[in-house]
Amino acid sequence: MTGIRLNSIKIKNTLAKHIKALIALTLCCLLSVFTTACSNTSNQPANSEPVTNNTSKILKPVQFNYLFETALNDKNWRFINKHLTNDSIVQYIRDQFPDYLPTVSTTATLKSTYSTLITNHSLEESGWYYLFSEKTEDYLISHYRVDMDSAGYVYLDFYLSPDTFHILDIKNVSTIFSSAELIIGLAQLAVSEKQKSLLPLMQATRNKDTAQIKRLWPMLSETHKNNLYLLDVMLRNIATQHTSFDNKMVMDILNRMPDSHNPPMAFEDYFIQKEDYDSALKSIDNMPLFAQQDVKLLSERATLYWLKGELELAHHYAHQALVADPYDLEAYLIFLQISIVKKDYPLAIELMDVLESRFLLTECSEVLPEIEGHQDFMQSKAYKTRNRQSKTQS
Amino acid sequence: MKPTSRAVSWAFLVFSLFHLPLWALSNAQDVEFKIEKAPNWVTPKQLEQKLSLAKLRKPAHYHLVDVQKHVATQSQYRRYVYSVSDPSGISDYSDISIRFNPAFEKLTIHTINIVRGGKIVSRVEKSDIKIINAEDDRSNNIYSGEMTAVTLLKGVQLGDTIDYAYSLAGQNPVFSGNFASFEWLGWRTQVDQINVEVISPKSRNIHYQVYGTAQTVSVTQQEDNLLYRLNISNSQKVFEEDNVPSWHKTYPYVQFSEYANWQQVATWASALFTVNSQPSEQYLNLIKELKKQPQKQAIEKAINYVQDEIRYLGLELAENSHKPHTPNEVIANKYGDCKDKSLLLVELLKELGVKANVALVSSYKSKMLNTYLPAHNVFNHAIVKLEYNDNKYWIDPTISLQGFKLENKYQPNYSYALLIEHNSTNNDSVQLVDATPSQPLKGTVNIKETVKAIDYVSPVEWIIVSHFTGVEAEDMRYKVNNSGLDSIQKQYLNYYAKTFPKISKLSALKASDDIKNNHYTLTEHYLVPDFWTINQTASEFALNADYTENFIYQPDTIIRSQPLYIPPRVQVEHRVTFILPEDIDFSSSVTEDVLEDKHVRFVSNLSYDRRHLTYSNQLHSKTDHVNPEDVADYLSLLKKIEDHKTYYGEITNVTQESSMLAMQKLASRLNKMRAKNSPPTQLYEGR
Repeated sequence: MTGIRLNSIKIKNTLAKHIKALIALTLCCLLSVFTTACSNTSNQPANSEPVTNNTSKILKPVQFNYLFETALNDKNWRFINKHLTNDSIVQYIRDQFPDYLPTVSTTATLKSTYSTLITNHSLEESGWYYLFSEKTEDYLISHYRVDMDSAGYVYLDFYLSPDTFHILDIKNVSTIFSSAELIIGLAQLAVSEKQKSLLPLMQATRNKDTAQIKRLWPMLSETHKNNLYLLDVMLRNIATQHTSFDNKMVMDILNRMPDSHNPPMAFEDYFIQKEDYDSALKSIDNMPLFAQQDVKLLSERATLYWLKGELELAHHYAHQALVADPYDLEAYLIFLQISIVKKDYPLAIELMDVLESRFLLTECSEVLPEIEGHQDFMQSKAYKTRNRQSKTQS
Repeated sequence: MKPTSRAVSWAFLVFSLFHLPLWALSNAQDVEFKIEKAPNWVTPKQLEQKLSLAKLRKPAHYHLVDVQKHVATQSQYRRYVYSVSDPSGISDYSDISIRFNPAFEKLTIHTINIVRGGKIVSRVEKSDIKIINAEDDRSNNIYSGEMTAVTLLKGVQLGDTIDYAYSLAGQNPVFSGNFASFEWLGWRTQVDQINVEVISPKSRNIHYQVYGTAQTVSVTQQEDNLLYRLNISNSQKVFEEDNVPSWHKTYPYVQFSEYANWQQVATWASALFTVNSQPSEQYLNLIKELKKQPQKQAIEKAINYVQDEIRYLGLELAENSHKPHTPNEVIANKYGDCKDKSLLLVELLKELGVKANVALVSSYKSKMLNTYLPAHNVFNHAIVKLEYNDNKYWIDPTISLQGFKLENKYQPNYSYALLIEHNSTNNDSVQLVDATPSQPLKGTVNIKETVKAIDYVSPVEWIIVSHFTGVEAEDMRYKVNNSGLDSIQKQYLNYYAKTFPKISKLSALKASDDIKNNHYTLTEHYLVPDFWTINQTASEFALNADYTENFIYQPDTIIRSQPLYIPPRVQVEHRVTFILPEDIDFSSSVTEDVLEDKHVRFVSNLSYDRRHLTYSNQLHSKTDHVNPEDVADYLSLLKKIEDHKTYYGEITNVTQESSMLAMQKLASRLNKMRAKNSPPTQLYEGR
């Protein structure tokens, strides 16, 4: 069997950036179900009819995801909305949450949450990248990475119906719950709590009323504070505006996180700002393995080890990043940075050779000034020899 | 030759080796035997006319196999007459071994003669016979106290006839005088005459059953005795084919048994498994400890105690071939065989309020056990049946390292069992019970390989994550604990080196044991410089997903008359994901082939997903054997399966990449730089 190489290399002129989970933007939407459920617990059951989509049936998962990736990058809402149907969502709720009776309201909330979530990740500078899919017994889980430019990278899982590729659920892998799990969990919590004790905090969170959140949190019972749904809400809220909260409250919330999310990746930026690189690295350990083995998170690890001053480990993960995606420009630039800091100039020269030939960068020297330790490197014998040879060849 | 039939003791599964306790063995020099003429009750058999050397079958010609048993005196007589007709026959048939147990059997040798030209040319004297210990199950930690009388014949020549006869008097008292016997009626060589006789008092009712021959047992009265006789002339040679299920009856036989039904066998066994002694302090302390746990954990702890803390050792001397040692003794000694362990476990479970029984089973006869006559010698093993929360569990206490949770322990399928129930000895309805475990699978194997290529020329990283459950996890745990990871690493590396001679390991083999759930995982990480085959236009590669081969037996005997064994209740998946340096469209190559018959289901799949090219093979065995008439079709299917073990692919246009040389140089440097103790990379197991 033969595969033909295509010349489809995208060049991105970006340097390393920390990964931040962009989750607060969708929080308002997620929380609406809590307040909705609180105000209306007698919604009508939603209809569920067989979902058909003749055009999707013939597609393989990879083919669909290529189309979907293009649609996401082109903000092709017609295509995206075609794969967001009430019927599929209702069926999903019935299958996944058999104790929960799907209402028209919940279904609508889920659908609009998915839509909002996609919208919020589709900023002008955003780039969606389809990684690969995994099949479970019932669903197809397609892993995506979203480049949010200065806001970092986000890893999202789309739960799709295996035949029609309708979107059933979306999970930001930095959080505890998927969108559907959180919305239905909160809806159930709202009913069980008789709309009382948690409502003010939820409303404050929805309104991004930091002062109110800070006031209400200490007043909650221990049971409430340890409730995973509430913790997930707090995680989403605080992660992106942790500077607004005092350290004691942040630590209180972090300490209550389940082992699988302690510390959560959403707090990586928080740890980096505090120069707590060990915790930042631990937060990467809590990401799903597919994300951990993605080039961006491997480069992130390399960067963190560089910041920690552990250059051998930085080198190791920079190498792993290259193996994970040998066509990722950012991975080469981070590796170049690490090799220069490590004063491994022969390696730096060879990385520059690939950068110039693979990414058509005519002069690596254009990016060198942005690299720490570049002065020493540019004064090195290895660099000067290379420069001489280049001039002779040209 | 088929060995002489012996009473089989209930201990055969062994999982570890220990030191030999010499005190357990009798001193062979002290064992007495006699040389004298055959007892009066023996009817001598006349031999057929002597054949010329040219007419003798090679390498040895069996003229007579004569077995006579005397029920009243618990004695048996055996005579073998054969001629050696070939140099290899002289080499293989000039040593005579007679097995006996001096604890309850007295050996009398009647004749060991070499006959040449119709005349006895050599008689063996007592001084020519040596008695040696016959602990050939020693490596299995079983000591029976059996001896072998060995005679190395001198001066044997081509055409000589060797004629020897002996008798054994006495029976293991554990059988309480009950008579049960098996005799083979076919051998791996043709026999001119096979004679089997049982002389029994009329008052004792002997049941018999003949299998595999048209001959029947004749019964004649001889004064106060009945003579049961079966004589076969020119018995056909039995061909033993390879990979035959153990339960298959390859050899014809005749079975005699004094037991009228399974109830009588159960009553006999029940007496052996009755505990009369007062519990020891150690025993009581153990119970006290167990009772501190909730019932489920206490059950699991009791099983684990018996499986892992009582080492396997079968001291099956005399009565203890079938009678277990008491729980007090087993706990004090910290060793025991299957029946010792089973009895101890049952007693512990009863103390915990759990319904449990010792279950007698046969590992060989298994699904055919119910076709034999009820008898004490059809079983060779003891296990435990326990009931908890309306579920039945068949626990084998001789298996160690089975994991902690009751429901995750592999339960061997012995098909039928005789339960020992002390309170139902008068129940005539006792039968063999179905001992098929409810577990759908014995175990699973899931091999996930990831091959990462940095370009189309340089060495690739190869990560192998092998996940085992059930019996497969237990086997791997045992193998690793016994051999050590370093030995296994070496073994694996050398195996891979057959395909990739330049392979080197990037990190040490890692084992991860989830003993609670009985899962075992091995992770390997290699660098493979010779993964790509470069030609002028393309880089070629091969993805091997061939682990399923370990569960497919290609027999040596293709044209068969006997069934072919298939490892039952096994599910294996081998998946290789090749992560390409960039997105290459393999969509036109995507395939799924399903090869299936009533015995196996094999699914081979090539899928493509962005940079991931995945080749996977899955095998699920549906049965435990293939009938002879289906073997040809089955083997044709295996041939097709064989064709799917490797996917071959190639990438063209690799030389058009402008950065190829620079990348190759960089990859080479990076691979050389790989620190010997590079940190472990977390390996993705999700796909």
